[in-house]
Amino acid sequence: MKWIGRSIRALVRNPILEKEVLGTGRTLKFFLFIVGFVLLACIPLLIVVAEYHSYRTNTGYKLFMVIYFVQSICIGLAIPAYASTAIAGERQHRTFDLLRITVLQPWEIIWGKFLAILSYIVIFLLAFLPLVAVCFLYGGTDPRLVAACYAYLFLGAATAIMFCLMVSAGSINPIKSILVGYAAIFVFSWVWAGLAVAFLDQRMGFRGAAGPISLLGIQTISAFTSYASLLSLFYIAATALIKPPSWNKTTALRVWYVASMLTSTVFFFVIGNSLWGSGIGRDVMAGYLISCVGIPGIFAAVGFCSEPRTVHPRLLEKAKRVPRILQPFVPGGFGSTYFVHLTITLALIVPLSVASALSSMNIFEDTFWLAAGIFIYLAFCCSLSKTVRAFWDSPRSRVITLLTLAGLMLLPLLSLLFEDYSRAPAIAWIDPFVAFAEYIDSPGRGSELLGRQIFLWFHVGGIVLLAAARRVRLKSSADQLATNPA
Amino acid sequence: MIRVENVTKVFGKTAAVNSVTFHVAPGDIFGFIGPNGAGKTTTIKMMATLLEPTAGRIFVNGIPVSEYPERVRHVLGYMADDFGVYDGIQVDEYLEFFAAAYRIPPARRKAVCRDVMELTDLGGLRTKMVSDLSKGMKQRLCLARALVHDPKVLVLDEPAAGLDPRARIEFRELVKELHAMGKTILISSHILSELSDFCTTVGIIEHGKLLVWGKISDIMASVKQGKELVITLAGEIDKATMICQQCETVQQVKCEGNVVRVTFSGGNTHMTALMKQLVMQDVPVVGFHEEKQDLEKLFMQITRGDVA
Repeated sequence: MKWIGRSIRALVRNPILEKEVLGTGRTLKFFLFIVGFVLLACIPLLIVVAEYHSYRTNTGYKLFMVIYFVQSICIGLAIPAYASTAIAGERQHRTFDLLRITVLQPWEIIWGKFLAILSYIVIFLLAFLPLVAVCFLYGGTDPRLVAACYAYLFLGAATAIMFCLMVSAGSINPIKSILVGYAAIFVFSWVWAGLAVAFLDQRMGFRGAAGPISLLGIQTISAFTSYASLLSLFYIAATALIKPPSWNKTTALRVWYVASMLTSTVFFFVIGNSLWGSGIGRDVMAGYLISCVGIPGIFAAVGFCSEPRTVHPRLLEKAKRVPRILQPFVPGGFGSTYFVHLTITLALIVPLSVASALSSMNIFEDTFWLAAGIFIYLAFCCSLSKTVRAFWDSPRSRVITLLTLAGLMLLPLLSLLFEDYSRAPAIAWIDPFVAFAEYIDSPGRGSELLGRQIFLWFHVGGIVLLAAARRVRLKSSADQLATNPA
Repeated sequence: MIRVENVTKVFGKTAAVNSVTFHVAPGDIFGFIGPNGAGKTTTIKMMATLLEPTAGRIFVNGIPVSEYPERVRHVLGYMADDFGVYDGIQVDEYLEFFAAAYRIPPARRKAVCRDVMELTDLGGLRTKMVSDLSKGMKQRLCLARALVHDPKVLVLDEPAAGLDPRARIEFRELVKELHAMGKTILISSHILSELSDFCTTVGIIEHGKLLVWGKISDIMASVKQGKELVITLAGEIDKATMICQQCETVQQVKCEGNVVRVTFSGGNTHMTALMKQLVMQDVPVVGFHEEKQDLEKLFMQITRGDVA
């Protein structure tokens, strides 16, 4: 569990963050930068106040929108200035190698830079707070609207920062990376602003935000998912771009794998949601074809070709006797496990879902869901046992595995505490037995739960399996090193 | 401590480093010598985990660099030739940042940084901004940064480039002090005279190929085809040249004004005999000595003389 603690500590206490905040945050230039933006924001505010000098119901709302708009512009201007030069500037000042020579991982470097720039944005937002407070004096501004707007702004800023960091990571010229950053922000903000205006216009009609704000919940979730997915992809890309040369061996596969999982998840949600209700078979087929065949297939193929050394070390000698490109598929290696996993999934699911789509007979649906659920659950169990064995290669590993699986099987007992599974969403999301029970009671709800669980277990299982493969390889290499240091 | 085995690095179609092999024993100071573009920095960057070899393997403290770069970074301190620094922070903050980046526990960081600053004579500049330091001081700061995690191996790439003579002498003393502390040091430089002062072993690289490596005395013994005698005369140059040419142990005679340079393969007895013969035949000998072979000459002799 040490690595979990280390990861959490690394997220919170990042030396890059501390250094950046010390180096930039305390300078007079930064202070003047903020003051300048705040003063700039006062001008349109004063104009609006002068125009709406008499009390009107929507003055506060108008004022808030003006401040929000100015804030968005200021942040949009500030982000490329800081983020696009973050890595390219290090390269230009010849300090980048100094970072790479330390034991900091690429993901920590990017994360530290990201947090530092995000902290500047937070300071920006805080500096604007007194102006925002003025809006509340006039009334008519719903706090939930304010919260939702800032959530959008914050997420949008975070995504833009990560995009600029990605550009910066791939560039050696800060000027070029700043230009690309501004161009992207410009396009991005027009799209974003257009959507925001359309949303506000449609939902609020610029008349305040009392009634239809409940709809914002649904919108926020989808926006959050999109932003989070984009942010993750930019993060992975930025990390990959600054990787040290020897980092690419196993990490390349990890990057590809996580990217494929994220992409497949996004596609699953998008395609699944858009097709939902048009027939369960078609949903499943579309979701799985894209999720399991298309995107991960491409990612996996590239990942495997670029990483032939993910074979289990015990089979390394055996693997060396087969062509390099086929090495990942030597039985026992992670590549082969993933390959078999994918093949069986497709062999099992695609024909059934196609048949299900073409037929209205419930037997296909039932077979599909049960078979898919059981397979994925078993695959997860295998992954879990491999992981446990990788970390504790001793007899106690079996005990840990058995206890973990027993714990999972006991989860349905917890659900007995609830009359309705919807009150125990966490259990319903992770436990297949609950979903099977639900399926018997209500096939619609049950199949939805099973579908989610399939993806959950598939992804979680795959990721832990990957961690296991990495761990086993390191352990074996460490043993080899101990026996033959040269 | 450092083992470089058949290392090759190819950029596009150019082999920057071509099958280079050398070893540096624990506690040695290895001088890595070569003209510009010879492949020194590329080799050093491969050692420092910043570049991956196209072929071959490098071990630092027995750890293979390609397989375990993180472990290597724990035992290796690297100082680049074109060192950059973060200008917006203080000297102590700079070192504490790198201490944190090397995962030195927070409780130990200040003490570690203080020790390193004392070692590199930066103690009095603790709260000074990095941007206000002179070049010599910045270079010391970079060395302090490389030492912050107490590495066993130090790799210094052209550390004295661009420094004034005083800063160079101070830096040389610092390297000697680190050597006395038991650090294994690999240092590359153009200024051969300063390397010859403290290097125990050297490697000479040109056009990506390591021409020779080992102890300076061994290399000299293997390279030298004969001693060079320098005979300074007050006159009778032709007579002296003729006497020298008649001597069996003399391989080559060159005249440079009043000085006759003789490539000589004999021992001390033959040398005495030659001097006696010159004096007995009334050649006015003012000086007679064996030319000392230094690193600079060795370098010129081994390379084809195309030093940048």
